[in-house]
Amino acid sequence: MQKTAFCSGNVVQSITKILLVMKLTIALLVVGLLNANAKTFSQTVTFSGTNVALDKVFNIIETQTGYTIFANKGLLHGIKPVTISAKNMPVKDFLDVILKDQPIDFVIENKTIFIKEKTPATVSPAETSPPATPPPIVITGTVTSSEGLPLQGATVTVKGTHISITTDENGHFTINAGSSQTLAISFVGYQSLDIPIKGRTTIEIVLQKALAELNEVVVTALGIKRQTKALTYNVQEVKGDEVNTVKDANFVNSLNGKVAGVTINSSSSGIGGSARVVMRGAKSLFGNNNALYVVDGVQLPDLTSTQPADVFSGSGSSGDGISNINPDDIASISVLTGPAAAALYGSQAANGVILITTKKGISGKLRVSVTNNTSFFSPFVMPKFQNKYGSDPGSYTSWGDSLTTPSTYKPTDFFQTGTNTTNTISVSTGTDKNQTYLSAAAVNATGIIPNNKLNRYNFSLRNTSSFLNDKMNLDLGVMYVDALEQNMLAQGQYFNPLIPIYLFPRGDDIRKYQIYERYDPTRNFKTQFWPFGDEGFQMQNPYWIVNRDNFNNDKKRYVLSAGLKYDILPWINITGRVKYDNNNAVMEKKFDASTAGLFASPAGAYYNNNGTTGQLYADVLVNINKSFLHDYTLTANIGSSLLDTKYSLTGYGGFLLSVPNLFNFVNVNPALATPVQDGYHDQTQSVFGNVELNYRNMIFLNATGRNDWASALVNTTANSIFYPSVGASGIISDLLHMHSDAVSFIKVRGSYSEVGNAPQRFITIASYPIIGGFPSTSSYLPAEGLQPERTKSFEAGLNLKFLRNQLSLDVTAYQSSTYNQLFNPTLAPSTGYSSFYINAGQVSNKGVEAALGINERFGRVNWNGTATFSLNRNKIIKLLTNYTDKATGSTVSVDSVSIGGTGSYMEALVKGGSIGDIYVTTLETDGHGYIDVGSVTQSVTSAPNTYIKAGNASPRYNIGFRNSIDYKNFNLSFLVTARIGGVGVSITQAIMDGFGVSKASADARTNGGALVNGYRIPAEGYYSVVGGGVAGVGSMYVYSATNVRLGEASFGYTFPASFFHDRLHGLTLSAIGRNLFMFYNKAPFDPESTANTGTYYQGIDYFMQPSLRSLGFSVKVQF
Amino acid sequence: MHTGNSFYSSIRWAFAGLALALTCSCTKNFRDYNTNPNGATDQQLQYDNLATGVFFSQMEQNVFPVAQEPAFRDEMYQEVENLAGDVYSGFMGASDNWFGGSNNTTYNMTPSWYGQAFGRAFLGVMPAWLAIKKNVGTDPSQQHILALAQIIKVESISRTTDMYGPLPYFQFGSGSLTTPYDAQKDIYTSFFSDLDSAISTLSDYVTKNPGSKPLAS
Repeated sequence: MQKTAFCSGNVVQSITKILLVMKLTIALLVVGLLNANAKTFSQTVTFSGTNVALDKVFNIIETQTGYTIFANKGLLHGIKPVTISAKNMPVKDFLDVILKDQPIDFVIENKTIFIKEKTPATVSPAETSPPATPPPIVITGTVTSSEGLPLQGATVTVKGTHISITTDENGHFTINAGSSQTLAISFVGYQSLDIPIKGRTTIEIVLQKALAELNEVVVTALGIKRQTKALTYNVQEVKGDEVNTVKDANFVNSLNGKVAGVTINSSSSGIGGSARVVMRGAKSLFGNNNALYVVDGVQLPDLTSTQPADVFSGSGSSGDGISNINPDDIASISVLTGPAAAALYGSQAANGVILITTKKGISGKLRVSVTNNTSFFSPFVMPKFQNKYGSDPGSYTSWGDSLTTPSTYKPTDFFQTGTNTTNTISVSTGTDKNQTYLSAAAVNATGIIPNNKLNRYNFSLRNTSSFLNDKMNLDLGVMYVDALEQNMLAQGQYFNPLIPIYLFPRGDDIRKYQIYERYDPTRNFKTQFWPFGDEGFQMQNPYWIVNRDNFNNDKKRYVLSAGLKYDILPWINITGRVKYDNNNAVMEKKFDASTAGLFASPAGAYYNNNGTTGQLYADVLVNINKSFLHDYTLTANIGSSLLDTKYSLTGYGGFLLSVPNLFNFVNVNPALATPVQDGYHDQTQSVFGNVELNYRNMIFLNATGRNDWASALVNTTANSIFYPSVGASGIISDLLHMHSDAVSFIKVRGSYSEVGNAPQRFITIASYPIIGGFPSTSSYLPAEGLQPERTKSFEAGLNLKFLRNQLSLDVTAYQSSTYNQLFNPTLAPSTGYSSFYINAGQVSNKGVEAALGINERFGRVNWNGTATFSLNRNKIIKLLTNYTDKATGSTVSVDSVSIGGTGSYMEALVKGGSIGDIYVTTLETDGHGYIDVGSVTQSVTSAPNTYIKAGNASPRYNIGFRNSIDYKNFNLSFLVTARIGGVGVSITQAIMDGFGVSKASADARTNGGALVNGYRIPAEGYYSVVGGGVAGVGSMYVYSATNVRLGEASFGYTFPASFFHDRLHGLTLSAIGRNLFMFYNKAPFDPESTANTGTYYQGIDYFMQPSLRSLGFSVKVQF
Repeated sequence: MHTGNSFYSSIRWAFAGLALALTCSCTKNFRDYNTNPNGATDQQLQYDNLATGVFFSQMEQNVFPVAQEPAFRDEMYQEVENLAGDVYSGFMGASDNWFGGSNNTTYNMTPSWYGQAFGRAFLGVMPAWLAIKKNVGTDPSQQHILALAQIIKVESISRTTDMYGPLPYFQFGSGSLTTPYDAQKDIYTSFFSDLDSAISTLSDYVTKNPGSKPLAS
């Protein structure tokens, strides 16, 4: 109301008041008249017609009786037209007649008639299994939700038979049934429905949403499906689509930000590299901290290659075992972050488990799906370079004079646009007795560094069948992967073209060196052209490195699996599984003649290593599911398993002797050759049991126990390890009979578990290493009285659902402690040994992981979002405390252990600190703590033996926020990930400063010098110290690792089947991207990228390959 | 329900049998699995007198350290010889300014470099000598082997004590995690007595066994 209207005085006020009253009176009158009109309506209907559409009849009823008819549009779709002749028939009778043979029924309340689905109370046996059945007819239909969206995967069963199919992406189904039979339709999250067919050939079904998510089922340890309600530990489920929308060559990288409690770092070796996956913090000081991968209930062997841990190595990297899996084969992923969830898998699962369930065939007609994902890569985070100052001729550093025209040299020109083309095809078919799934995929990728390639071909075939009246089920599977990796570089000095490229003297012209080889008349072939020498960094011509120093890995892997399940009685079944996984990798290194002398002789060098890992897993499980005493259900899984792993590595290689570039063992110089032979055979036999007691589906008690007999336990204090776990969960909302819409589901859970870990193999039995063909004394004291490592952990959690399941919150708090770790402290050489093995070390991790899920509809827009939060605090409680030396009786304590690094950076374990603590070297300081600037030299001095703590490489918090927005057939999804806390050291920046190629060094020169203690000192002198040597001074190059980025985004449109006249079931086109944009990042490198996917050597950038930004598109066609 | 009961018990027995069969069958091979196939065992060292003879190679390779892949390559020689002595005597010059210019060549001793010679003496030479000494024991027919080992040991440790001064020498091999240091004067004196007894043992041996070559095989 306008202010003026109020302000103009009383007169206006009274006029408006009168007008208002008038309006109200008229309204009331009209209503009254209407009511009066209503009284003239009759309660009977008079109508005759043949084949009249039902909605027209309803209109007649409304007009004649004044009743209002409410019917869901969907209900009337496809209803047969009616024929009726009625005169003064009461409304109720009239409706009875016209709806007699229809699948809809009516209810009259006051003046409103509600039309709803007809739900027959009982179906007499005679009806469902008639001896004289009419011939089956083909029935098609669509299942949609009450919101109008088609439901894919809803189960349609002919009641009383085993005929059952699932609906496709559009909710369509086709089923054979007798016209007098009934269809039972069910779908998770919705109320099930029974619909009598009644001779119809087309049936439209609408399912109503179930208020509480009662029967959500998730895959847990051993591939056993459990209701989410029943779980006493935290399980997070990720649908197969999440890792397929924006495909990554290693699907594990697609999980980043989507799961709480997991820190995922991808390897800097580029496309197809490994991933470091640590759940709830690092537990083991010297063991493996990466999560265990399980596919269809069986664990994968650990197929990681040696990771770089110094300034030199990092070339010729390789992807790990999990990067071989074709993401298209994945139906769903369950992430079990705590050891409680995985006490059934044995000691390797103490670090958490990523459980992958692969696709099976679906009965029904043939389904074919073809996809293509094409992405283009470019470097994401690069340091800043300068082009103002040139270099002195012949010098590799750029401390020359200011250039009149800035140099046009850009290091990013060296990179090419990386590409990744992934083509997949999958076929699924089957009957209800036998289903087959077949898939093939090809990944062809090139990295941003020239001549870096990945070509991977996957094939998989899976057949599931049932016999003996569905009492016996057989599951057979075959998978084959062939991967070829070329020149994957993670970091380091050796064979790293980035070092000469980044540090290239700005006064020189790179084009002179792009012709990297020149004909040498004395040798009669082309040799490397590089006038500079190694400059202390093993530099060579960068174009020579990428083209003539080749690292080729050829990996072939096959997996054979078979499983048999037999239902002895309805409540007990027995399953047996066998799986054999064999991976063979041939790693070849070929260095052409005229490669630098450290790596090759004048004829070149050749190395060939062949490694094979074969893992056999077999188990037998008895599964019991029995209800008793009406309220209780007991579920038990008891079994026994065998895990046998064989590894063998053979290799030979060395500098070539006579013929240049003949890469063959016969040409290798035998005097300088290094033969390699290594291997092991581990076996673990176990017996385990899992028992769950369920009271009325409201209270759940769970207990597990496992006993391992491991070959690595020979000569230790125990020959088997036993570890139990217990847990309980209660559905508070059911117990208190809560029916509020605000809080619809409350579940409280808690569990305690222990996991044991056998010590390293071989160390308990004395062995003499053979060096140069002769045995030599052991470098470690043979371990005596070793005990297995143990992790004890406790977790408590809360699962809440609010606002009619639109909001869900899962919070878990945990505390875990790992002690009796296998500790390998160094000994003083005076003992004659360099180290010894002892049980020591106690590490504790405590933290919180939380996930908030949102599922909202705004009109036709559907928004589905999940926010994840992880917090972990790691603490080294003690290392070696008061170890009594048997010989002298004195006690020895070790309170810190150095893990090594680059010299200026090292990671050390210190009592009271955390795993991942970074220590850096500093500059000399004066008595007051200021950096000491020499009065004569006007420069600083490095203090290479003084280390100070820079921080920790692990994050303080990890936050992820993923969203999926659907509008009609459009879908927009994006993921924002934030990592807060932690530090990283960039030696790349230090060396760049030292060579004068960085923007910071140019700015310092322009401003009159480097700023130290508030004064300017000559830039070159300063930077040659802080950026000098091989690794500079670490303390001057510590950066905060906090970063926030747009991690993933996709925008797609799905063409419905109707667009293609049902010849195609669907076509989806999307634009996809990963690592799109950094909202906040202070480091000159990507802090999430790591060169080492093991536990240590984190938070360090030593000329790592930059992380990649990808942009591309994907096409998915379904037939 | 009587059929149910026997079913119950038969299930129980089947499972127990299965468990037993799987677990007790092959743990006898576990000792083999946990033995490193890439090295030599104690038993294998008894063949061919390896237990006494083979450690000479180790001693000899560690006096002036040569590359011993995969443990270390030429950098060991550089750290023990070149960067510890040759750069001061003028035999070699620095090719890089390691650690920002603060390293042995500029008289700021780098711990990871100057400790290597100590490591070679006590991880390479002394344990090998100790192994030979233990295997020979008081066997009169093998005292010449011990004498040869003593000579090589003295050659190596004389250089080590020149570099470091007092060393944990006499009580080396006591099995303790800490070994007390001995004065350099005492170590030097012991060299002379060690060499004297070695000379007499070997002269004795040569007289009694002319033309024999004990180290040849």
